[in-house]
Amino acid sequence: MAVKNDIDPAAAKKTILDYCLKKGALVAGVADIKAIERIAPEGHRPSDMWPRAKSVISLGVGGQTQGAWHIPAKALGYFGSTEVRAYTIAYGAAFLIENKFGKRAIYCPPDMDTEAGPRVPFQSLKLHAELAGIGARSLAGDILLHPEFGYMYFASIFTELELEPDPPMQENPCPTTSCVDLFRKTGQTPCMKFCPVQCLSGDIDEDGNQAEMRYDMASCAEMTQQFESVPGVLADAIRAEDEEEREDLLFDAENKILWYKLSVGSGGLLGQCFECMRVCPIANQSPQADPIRRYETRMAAEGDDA
Amino acid sequence: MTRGLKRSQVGMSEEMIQTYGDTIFDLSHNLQIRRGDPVRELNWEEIEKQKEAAGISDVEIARKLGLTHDQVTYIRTIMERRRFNRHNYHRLYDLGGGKRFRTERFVPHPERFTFRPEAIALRKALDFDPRSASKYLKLGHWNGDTVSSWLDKWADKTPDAIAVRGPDGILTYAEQRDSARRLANSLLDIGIQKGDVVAIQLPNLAAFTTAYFGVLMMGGVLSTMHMPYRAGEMKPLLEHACARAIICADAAENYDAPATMLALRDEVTTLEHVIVATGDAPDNALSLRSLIEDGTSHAIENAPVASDPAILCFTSGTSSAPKAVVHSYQTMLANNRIAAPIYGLTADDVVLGGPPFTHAFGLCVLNFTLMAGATSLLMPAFSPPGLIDLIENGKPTVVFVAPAHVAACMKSGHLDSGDLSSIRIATISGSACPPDVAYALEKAMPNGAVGQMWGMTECFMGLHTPFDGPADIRCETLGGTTPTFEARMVLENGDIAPDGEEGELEIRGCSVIAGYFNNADANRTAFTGDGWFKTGDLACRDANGSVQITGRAKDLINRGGIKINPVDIEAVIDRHAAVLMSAIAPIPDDVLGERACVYVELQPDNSLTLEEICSWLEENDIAKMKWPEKLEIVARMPLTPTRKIIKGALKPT
Repeated sequence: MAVKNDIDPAAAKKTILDYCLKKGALVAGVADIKAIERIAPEGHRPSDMWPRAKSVISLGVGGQTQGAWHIPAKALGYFGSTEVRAYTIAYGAAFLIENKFGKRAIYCPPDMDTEAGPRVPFQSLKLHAELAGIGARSLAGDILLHPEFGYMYFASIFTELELEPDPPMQENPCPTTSCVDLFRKTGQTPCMKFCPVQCLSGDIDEDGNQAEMRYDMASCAEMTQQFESVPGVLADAIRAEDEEEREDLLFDAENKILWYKLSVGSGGLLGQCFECMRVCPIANQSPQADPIRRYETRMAAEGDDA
Repeated sequence: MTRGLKRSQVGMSEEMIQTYGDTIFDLSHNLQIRRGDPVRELNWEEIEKQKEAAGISDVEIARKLGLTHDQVTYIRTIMERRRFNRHNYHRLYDLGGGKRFRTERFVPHPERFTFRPEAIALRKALDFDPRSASKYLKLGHWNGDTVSSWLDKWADKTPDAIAVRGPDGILTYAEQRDSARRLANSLLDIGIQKGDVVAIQLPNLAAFTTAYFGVLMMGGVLSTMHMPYRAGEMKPLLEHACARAIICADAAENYDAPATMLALRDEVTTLEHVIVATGDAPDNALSLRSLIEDGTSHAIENAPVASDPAILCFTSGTSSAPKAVVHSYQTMLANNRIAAPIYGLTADDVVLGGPPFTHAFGLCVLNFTLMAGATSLLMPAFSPPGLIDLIENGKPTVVFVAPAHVAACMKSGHLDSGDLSSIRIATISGSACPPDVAYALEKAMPNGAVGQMWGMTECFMGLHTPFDGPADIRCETLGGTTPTFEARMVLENGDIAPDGEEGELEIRGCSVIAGYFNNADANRTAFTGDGWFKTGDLACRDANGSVQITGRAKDLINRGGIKINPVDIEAVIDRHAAVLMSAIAPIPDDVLGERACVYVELQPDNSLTLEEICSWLEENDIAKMKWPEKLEIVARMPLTPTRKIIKGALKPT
């Protein structure tokens, strides 16, 4: 890798972000790494992973299609795998940075910290995206939302290349007017009301802004994170009083899915139930959250260019 | 374990988990609280202030609590496991695709579908030979039909057609379903669960059909109690069935059913509810009418399926120890489907069933009628003039009766004087039918044909005559085996009897039960290992395949080694002018082992001696060795609900 010293940071930033958008990202930006360092918990800061990182680039890809919001949750759970598209773009962007600018870059692993267990990620991609100005925290457990693109999946790139950070978003789209109205009437926004484990609660101030967001992540995890079930099922099976009970525990359809996931299966069971996003007016009804509308916008723009 | 270390290696104890567990869990990301929007606004003061509320890392928690990083990770992950509720995953199944979570409507899955241990135990009676079950399923003899699905079919297709016409009301199919649904929902509301047994002691009324459909609709198992039964007979049956509720009639002059049932409720541990179907319910009892009126009419969520138990009947046979017969929808309804072509029932038919619904024969008739979408014409109690009057006014097209019904009408003269022109087919069943009885009925029906059917609670219909066959086949035999059934006569030595020779009738088919509920002794003697049911009836088959029942195996009298079958002798005695009905049963004898005793119920204002009986038998060419050697005059013959004589109840003075 040939190191280049005559890099124009502004031009480089444009090249990288354009690459991300061209490859399918809906939004991309640069987060202030110093801010991340101050906010992220110890052990999960960029410097804990790579002390030489100077910039964090964050990008977001579209989430669900309009049709997806109308299918049962047990099937929608599998749509978490669409985040792979974001990772692919980030992976390519890291190569682009190294090839084009001669600066080291990594695609930030979105996985869990193997020392901390499966509920703790290496890095908060959400924090990166928020500080990069491509999403704002919602009442739905801090899931990031975008006023144009709604609900997205995010990926990050760390690089030694110094890039000018973007500011966080000026406005937070959450809560919308309709959510505020429902909250005023019932004390709950749609995401709170329809959460199947009631893990969301909070408050909205007089101006219609978020006053408090409470997220019981452990309860949320009970819906989908079946890794906790595997040892539980095995422990119960060991303690089973008889063969009939043991057979029930180990071989009922639901538990057999666990073994299936451990052996040949993948996807699903690792995401969320999506109910909070399914009912969120920003997540799926923002102007460009709808892929059909996005296509129309793009076509119109291309028409203008022509 | 963290980093492969045991808890002791990181200096951990259970006490430490207990001490710090909740604090660590709350400080971690497992509970996240944010006030305002400090990160987006880069409000550093608030960010710092809210760090702990947002969830801090293990190393930060360790520093705060004075523990090691490993200890915190260990405790946090242990707490995550201990607090994890696996069953919340099931909520996913109720979401999306048009379904929304509603706190107020949500019932946790483990609480949704529960069966009592008694209900599970009852299912063990449905222990079919897997080869037979596989065959019946493959051939379609067993399918997914339930009584509710048949009722739904007609309530949707012909909602205004009359389903039931009885002295207590007329119900269309739509009304019948609505009242049954309301009752079903009310039963669920009072705590009756799917698989629970609900007993019933009611005559053939519209209230019975509503109870029948309602109980079955919510997945209950209906256990029938015959009308003559009183507390002494019912208590062991209710206990055996583990009945959860009983439906009965209101108090009558000679029988206070509600009071009897309320007293039984104190004695039968499982019995919780007494439901009075007619009239007003006393204190501590429920009113069937109120349950129907108060119930909601929405469809049942966890409706029964075809393999579920549907009814539990106690055999009415002459055995002194009744046996509990559990039929699933598959065994019960298969018989109706298979026999349907024989009867050619249509929705235009009006069906009069003589046998009570508390008997399997009665339920079989009710299901037949339902299957065709026809009308059930109800007869709550039998008397010769009552039956003939009902036929003349109700104009049934199809009639099911027992030989005793017809014989009584013959003796009273009502059979000859009545107008039976509406009847196109009449089936005689319930006990062996003397040919003259069958011929007499056919003669009385200018537009109808008589047929015979043999069945038992354990198998429903197993033999039948075709209605288009010659009169001698229809009136003198039971015809052939019902389609898909197999029948064989077995000799005492276990060999199969050749045509023309008497043997014990054994039957096999898709409506034969797997065994009696909770009666291993009876199962050992009544069932072979390969699906044959030993009926206890003696029969022989002629060269044409027609079967005649010749008696009951256990009714044979062993007089010094000579077996006497009393059936033919009883038939002759019954023809004597002074006799209303007769039965011959053995009495012990020191020399011969057994001798024959004849029990006679006389016609009013008549008398009879043993000598006169023997002369009558001699006149009718009955061999002297078969003559009874003792006579007992009985005031009233003990009868089963299908008017079959209970020989076990006959004792010499």
